[in-house]
Amino acid sequence: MTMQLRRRWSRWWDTFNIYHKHSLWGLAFVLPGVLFFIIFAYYPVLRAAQLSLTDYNLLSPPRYIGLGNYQFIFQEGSRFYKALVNTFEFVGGYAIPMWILALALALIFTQDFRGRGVYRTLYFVPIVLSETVISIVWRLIYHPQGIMNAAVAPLTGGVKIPWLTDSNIAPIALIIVAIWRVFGYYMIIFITGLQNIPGEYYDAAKVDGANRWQVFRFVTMPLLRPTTVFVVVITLLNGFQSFVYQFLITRGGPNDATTTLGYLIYEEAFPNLNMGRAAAISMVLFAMLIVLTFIQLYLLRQRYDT
Amino acid sequence: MSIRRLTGILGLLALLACLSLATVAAQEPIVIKFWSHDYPPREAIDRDIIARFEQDNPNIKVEYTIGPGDDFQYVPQLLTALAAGEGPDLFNVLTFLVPDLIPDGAVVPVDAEAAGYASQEEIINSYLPGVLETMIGVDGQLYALPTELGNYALFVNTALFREAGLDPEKDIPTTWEDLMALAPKLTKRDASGNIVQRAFDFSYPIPDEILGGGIAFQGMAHQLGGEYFNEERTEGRINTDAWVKTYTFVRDYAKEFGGMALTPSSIGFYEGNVAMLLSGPWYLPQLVEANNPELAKDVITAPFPRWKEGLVNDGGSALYAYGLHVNSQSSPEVQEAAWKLAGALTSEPERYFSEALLLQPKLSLTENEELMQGSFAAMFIRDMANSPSLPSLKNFGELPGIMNRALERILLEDMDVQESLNIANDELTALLAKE
Repeated sequence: MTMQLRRRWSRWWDTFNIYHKHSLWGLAFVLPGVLFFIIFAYYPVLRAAQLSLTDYNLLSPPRYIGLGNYQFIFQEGSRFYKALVNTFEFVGGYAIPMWILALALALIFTQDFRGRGVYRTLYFVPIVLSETVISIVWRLIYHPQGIMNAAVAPLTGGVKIPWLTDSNIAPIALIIVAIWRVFGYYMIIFITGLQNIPGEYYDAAKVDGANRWQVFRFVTMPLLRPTTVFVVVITLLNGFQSFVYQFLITRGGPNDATTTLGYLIYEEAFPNLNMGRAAAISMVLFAMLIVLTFIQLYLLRQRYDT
Repeated sequence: MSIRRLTGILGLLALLACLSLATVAAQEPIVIKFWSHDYPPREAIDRDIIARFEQDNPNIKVEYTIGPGDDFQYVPQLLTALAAGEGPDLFNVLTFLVPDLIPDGAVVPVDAEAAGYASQEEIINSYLPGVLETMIGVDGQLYALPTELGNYALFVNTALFREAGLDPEKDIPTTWEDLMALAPKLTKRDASGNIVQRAFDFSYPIPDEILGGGIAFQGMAHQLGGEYFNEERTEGRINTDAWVKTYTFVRDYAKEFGGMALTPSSIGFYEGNVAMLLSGPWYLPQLVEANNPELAKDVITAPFPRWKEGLVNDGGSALYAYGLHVNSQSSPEVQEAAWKLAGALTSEPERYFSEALLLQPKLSLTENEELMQGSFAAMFIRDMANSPSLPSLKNFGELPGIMNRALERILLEDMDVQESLNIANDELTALLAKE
């Protein structure tokens, strides 16, 4: 019986050529990873898409309502629009200054000077701390009697800035926290990218008489492009999904000024028990992130084409 | 050994195994998973009662868990656990969740016999009239046993009153108009004009503020005849004159003497830079004695202020209640044991009142004049008469959000009070339509 089975298997296996055999082995090896993604990534996305078409409050079974949730979030005056604008403002306000700061520091820290390692470490430290801890600490820093107001007191004449309770200032306060936490991390990534640029290119540029700006513009930037694309895409994805600071520092306030899409999803889902509506907003955010990912692929393809 | 004999022996062994399993199962204790929110003075009493309950009922074990942080964190965790089928068998939660819990079959009616009563009617009759209304479903059945009925009154720092040359006995404001008039005398500013001491402040929707502003605002509006919605629960009523006057007062006070940009009044009071605030009796042990025990001796309380002009209802702040509920997904044996435990946890209201300043609104407690006389919390109970209850609505978190945004539009964007409340009222009417 066993021999028969073995012979059958052998005959079946011999029907494949070497290329197909390799492919089958490859498939076998990636199968656990694929299964993991199907169960923990794709299934939740599909389930969220399904939930977005229902009225569901966690306690009773979901009730199908078609596109009702999408109609609600896209109706005139909906909080979704404010959250969308806030999200774009947060991403713009956090990502662009962070890129510039991280790159500028990376350029400085690739120069040779004493204490370089110490400074690099100091700038990197915040990324080691959890966002929760950072949020609690910054809430104290932004307290009306906190050190932030003490620090700016000479500039404001002692007038206390309501960092977290003014709808114009609170979004900026969160952007400062977000930048402070990650710029050291991206600085290290830029440093790695800069160190991978062969020194011969700089030597050649010098021989050609290029000034510092020209070296940066025509040598550094093009060769740093893969790193830049990575940093840009990752920071944008993280920015669009931002939730922790909005939840722990401002709870989306004041007056929804820091309610981003990530926070609105939470608020609709848990205090408000509108799971379907939360799922609908998640799907819109998902679509936005898909577009971002396509842009990333397009930029990367351009890089390899050239 | 013949096959027949072998089969007989195996059969006998199987029978013995079944019998021993049944015996073990019979001895297996019933485990009640019990969750409650964080309030250390109550927790100590709970644990003591649970220990005695387990001694008296050796076949029942209780796993007591304190939920994380405030209700903002505790309630979502509870609901998620219930949805996942991992919820506690018995849980203590704000009763404004009831419209979400009962129609969806998440909780079961009170088992009166297990809780130590002859009937639900006997339970209802043993409590202050009307206080269990928010715990009764549309089917007329009682779904919870109350662990706390609460309201807000005025906490006064008498040291700051004396420092300002005021008499804490005579000068405590009894009306909102008096409170506004008294504010300049107790407000201090630094050279830059920053307020460094406040006479009083409301609770605003700001980080770290643990007191709910809505409990006070609803009481203020109710005094003027205001209500959240019409009797049919089809239309909002939060843009009426009563609400406009309430929010106008809050705006005017905040602009001149307090506001959202300052430290939460619940913190400022125990730090000694807010002379008066509105809170429940639990505020004294939970925050004042815990953070500034020295201050506690200077703290007295006074009734929730009334309106001098236009008073329609002579009531205090809104009432809120916590109740013990039993999970419908638990087995019948566990449900019965859970109601038995709930009965035990609500059988010593005097102890909760004197040691944790919590009111389990039983007649046996409120009619206990000896206990009431000289009690810190007795004034709160007297102030409950004619007070409204926090409304119970489906999608419990939306109403506080609607009211908070209305206030923030007024305070932060200088929006006209009427206009802001019109927006809020439309949102509330849309929410009511979901019911």
